[in-house]
Amino acid sequence: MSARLRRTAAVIGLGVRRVFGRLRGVAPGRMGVCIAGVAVAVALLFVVASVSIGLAGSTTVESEDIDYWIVPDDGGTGSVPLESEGARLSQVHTITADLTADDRIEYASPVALQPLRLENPSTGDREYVIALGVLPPDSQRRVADMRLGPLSEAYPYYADGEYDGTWTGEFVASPAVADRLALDVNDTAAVGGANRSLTLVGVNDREMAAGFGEVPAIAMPLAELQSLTGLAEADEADQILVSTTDPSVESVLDAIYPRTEVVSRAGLTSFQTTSTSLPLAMALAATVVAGGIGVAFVATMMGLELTAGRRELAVLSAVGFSRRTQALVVVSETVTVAVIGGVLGVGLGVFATFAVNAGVAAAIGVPSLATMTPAVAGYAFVVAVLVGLCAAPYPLYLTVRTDTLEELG
Amino acid sequence: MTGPSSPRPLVVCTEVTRRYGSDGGPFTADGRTVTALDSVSLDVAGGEVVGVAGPSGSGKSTLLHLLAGLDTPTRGEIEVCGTTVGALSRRRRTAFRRENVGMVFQRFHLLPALTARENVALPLVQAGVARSDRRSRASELLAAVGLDDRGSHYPSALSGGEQQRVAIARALAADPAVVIADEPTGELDRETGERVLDLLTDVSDGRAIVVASHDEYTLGRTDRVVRLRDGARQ
Repeated sequence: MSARLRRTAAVIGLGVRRVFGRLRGVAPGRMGVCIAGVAVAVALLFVVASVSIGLAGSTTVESEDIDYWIVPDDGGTGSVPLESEGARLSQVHTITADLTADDRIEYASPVALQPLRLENPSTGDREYVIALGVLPPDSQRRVADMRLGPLSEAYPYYADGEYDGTWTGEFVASPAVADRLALDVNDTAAVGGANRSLTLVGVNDREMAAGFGEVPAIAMPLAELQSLTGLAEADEADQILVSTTDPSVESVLDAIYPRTEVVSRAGLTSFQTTSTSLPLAMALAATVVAGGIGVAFVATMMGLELTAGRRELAVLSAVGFSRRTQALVVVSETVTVAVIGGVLGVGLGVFATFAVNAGVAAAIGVPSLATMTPAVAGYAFVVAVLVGLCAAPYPLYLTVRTDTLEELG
Repeated sequence: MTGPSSPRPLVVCTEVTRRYGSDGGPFTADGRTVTALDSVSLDVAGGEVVGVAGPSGSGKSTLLHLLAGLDTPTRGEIEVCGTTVGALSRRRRTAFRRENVGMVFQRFHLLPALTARENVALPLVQAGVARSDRRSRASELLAAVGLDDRGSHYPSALSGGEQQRVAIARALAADPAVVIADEPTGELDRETGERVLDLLTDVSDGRAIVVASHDEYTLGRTDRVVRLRDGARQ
């Protein structure tokens, strides 16, 4: 290691050491309050970001292999291909057939999400479920955590483009549905309000996760769900999932419907995988608020700390520390405080998120409002570091203004 | 960096004057010009311990700050280890101080958040000395001042005398040719002060030591005394 690097590392280490030295009992008050302030701000950010992700996750169906979603815009009403009520996509079978003809697209399926009331005719058990209508895939593909393999690929009910083919009634149920309706594979369930019955062809290996937690869900052929729920008239669905490895497809998808949005799941776009901008706005607001509070807090407290300890800076000058090195000590102290606050804040945020979820579950019965991911922890930590860096100018200004002679004289 | 005995004085002050106020110095008193030091000349050879005496306001601290390169003279010249300190930029003076001058203060000025060993090693941090070398050098110096078992203690756990011994060890960490001590026994009782003075005179071999004090006992332990009054030599 070169002398310059060694010096830089040693100076940064000195800043870190001074922070821990103060916390160890020399002068923990201001420093401790400063760290606590950052921790609270970061915890707030963590909780709000987790709630945002939970909300975002609740509005978009996720699939392991889906790269794009075509979803209606918020205000997308009145256009020809869009149904004005509920902003759905229409003519989805035709559009999807065109999409799957494109060699670049591996799989495409309209997805309709509709509530159904199922009843076990043997036991009389009833349950409202979320029915997921999809085109049965040719593989063990999952959509919205539901394993679609047991559904027959034939899709006979819509074979000739009309809703008059052979009714299969097949559905895959989440474990909760099978359990609550006491259904086994090959058992039938009646659909409330319709003269149709469904046959359980498979039980999913996990619950369907949504932003609000786990929901009782079934997956079934889209055309049959459309027929049950009145969506067949305009061939409607809520969104279209498109799986591809070719990013050039996105422009094709953009051009299909007016007033729709094509979203992808690249990188940290979990904030974007929603047809509403509320979660993103929440996350941004949380970042701004937490960052602002953190920066103001750290700058103020470190400024007070530095003002009280100006003589120490003068001593550093007396023993040969240059202004630049003193500045590096101060910056490393400020960032160290923010990092410690960030680590504590993430821990506090995890705890607070559990508490929020528990509170919401107890209050309104939603199992989990907030969704925690490692990315949120990393994001909160990065914000903490940025808080330290953004708060550094004020202590640096005080450092530059410190008069060695005045302090030592 | 080291201070071997030399025929040429390590410290040479020639007609040094320091005024504050109208010339833009840091301290102004109602716009008046204050002459803190007036045409003072002083030589200190290697291995010599020189006392600077005088009442409060006589210019002792100003002289020491000038010798250390913390301040620059308004007029005259200060040469330390062959370098004209006043001609250096602030940055170079800081580097010069780091390599050539050790300072001991009346109130010790140890950093409270660092242990005794870390305080001693402080000048070596900016010098880019490796951590293990810093540690061993600090331990060696703490042993030299009789505090080898107190290295991991924070200043708040040390007595005044112990803190001043740590400060002396810190002043010697970079092996400077010149050691400047401003009232080093001012905060200590007589017995402890004597031990500190013993230590300072012990380390004088080859170094130029300048001790400012208004205490005659302390001054009596130096090789010679320069007396100041109202900024001028008596």
